[in-house]
Amino acid sequence: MSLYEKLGGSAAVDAAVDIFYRKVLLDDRINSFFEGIDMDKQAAKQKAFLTMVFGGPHNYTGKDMREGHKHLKGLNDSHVDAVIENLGATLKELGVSDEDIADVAAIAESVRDDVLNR
Amino acid sequence: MAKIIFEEKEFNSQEGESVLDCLLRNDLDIPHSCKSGLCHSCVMKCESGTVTENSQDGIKDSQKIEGYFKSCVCVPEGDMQVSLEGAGHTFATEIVEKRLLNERTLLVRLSVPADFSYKSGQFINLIRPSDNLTRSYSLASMPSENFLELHIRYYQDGKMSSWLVESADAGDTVNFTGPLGDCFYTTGKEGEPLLLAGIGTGMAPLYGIAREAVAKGHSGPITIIQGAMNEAGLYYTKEFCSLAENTSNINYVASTVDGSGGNEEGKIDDVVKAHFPSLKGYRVYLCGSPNTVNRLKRYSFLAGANMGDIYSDPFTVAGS
Repeated sequence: MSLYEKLGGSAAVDAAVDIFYRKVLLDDRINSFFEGIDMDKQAAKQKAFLTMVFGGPHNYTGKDMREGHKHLKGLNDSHVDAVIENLGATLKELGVSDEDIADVAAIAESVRDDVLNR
Repeated sequence: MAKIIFEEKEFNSQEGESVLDCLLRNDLDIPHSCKSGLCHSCVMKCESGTVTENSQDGIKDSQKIEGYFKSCVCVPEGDMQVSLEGAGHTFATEIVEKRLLNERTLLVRLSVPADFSYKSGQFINLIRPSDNLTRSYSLASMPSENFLELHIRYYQDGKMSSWLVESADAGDTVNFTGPLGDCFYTTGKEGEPLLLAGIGTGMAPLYGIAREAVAKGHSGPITIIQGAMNEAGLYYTKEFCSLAENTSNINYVASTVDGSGGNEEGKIDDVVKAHFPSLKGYRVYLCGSPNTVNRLKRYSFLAGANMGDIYSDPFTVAGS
């Protein structure tokens, strides 16, 4: 059973996006990258991302991830680290086991090169 | 196997095929991206027929009622007529009243065309018949009223607003399309606390939404916050005050940046923050200029409101 199913599917991911996105916007290491963007569109993108890393239905190719981040000047590994950290904290808050959090972090880790365009 | 009607043409869907795939197979240009029901770029409107339940997963409550659905994950269970958002019928109407509410705000009331239905807070695209000049205005009226009410910000160099203020008269015919937008009251959570905050003619949809909530039996507390630079920038304060006086669960706060007129002093952001350090569990409606709306939206979310419970209508100004 995937974490996506364990959490309760689409509605549970909506709740996770709310927690995750709020953490990201409050994190001074990365929130400047989110200034002035459409919050609804951003939340939809985060939902797609979280669904993917939770093992839910997705159509991830890496192309959108590359396109979506290549204009961000100064984006580096430390920012990806911060996002993965916020993701872990979100899951902790949702009562997800450490083992599942490690699995999610590993999947999130796998998109690092797409995000950083290398 | 079902019939899909789009732009007055009929298409037969194949076994297991989604509405989107059927239209794409017929070489129609429908916006789409993930084809997994996640990105919402293929959202269409169902004009008749029934959408599948899964195709409205993640769609806002107010948009569900309007029939919006994700065409990529909707395998039709019966015939459907669908459209891309925005496409709609043009209504002819008549100006029945116009008057200035303050130096820069014009009230216009229109007769209600017989076959037009809407929800307070939605907007229409008003069309000047002589040249089809079009501008969007929100509806301050309620469907139970026998007129459509618009509040129009007067720009001297604004083509539509200067025409309405300086030339148009009661009895003139105007056209419009709509209604559009998802910033309106939805039933189902009558006990939820509501925050309605706006500046300028953003108060028009909020006036409609607040009264509609009351009419629909909303029992949770409703706070309306109006902001302006100074006393002269406020309008409809009497109407909002009387609404608050006559409704036990409505609280109205008028605020001005310079504190003039004995109103609460401060920028609307600060007034909202002072009254609501937490917005957890709130449903929030935000209307006005895009900058203000976006700042308030961000604050509301960070203060704990769920993203899906924040409804906003940023008013953009068309180039004159």
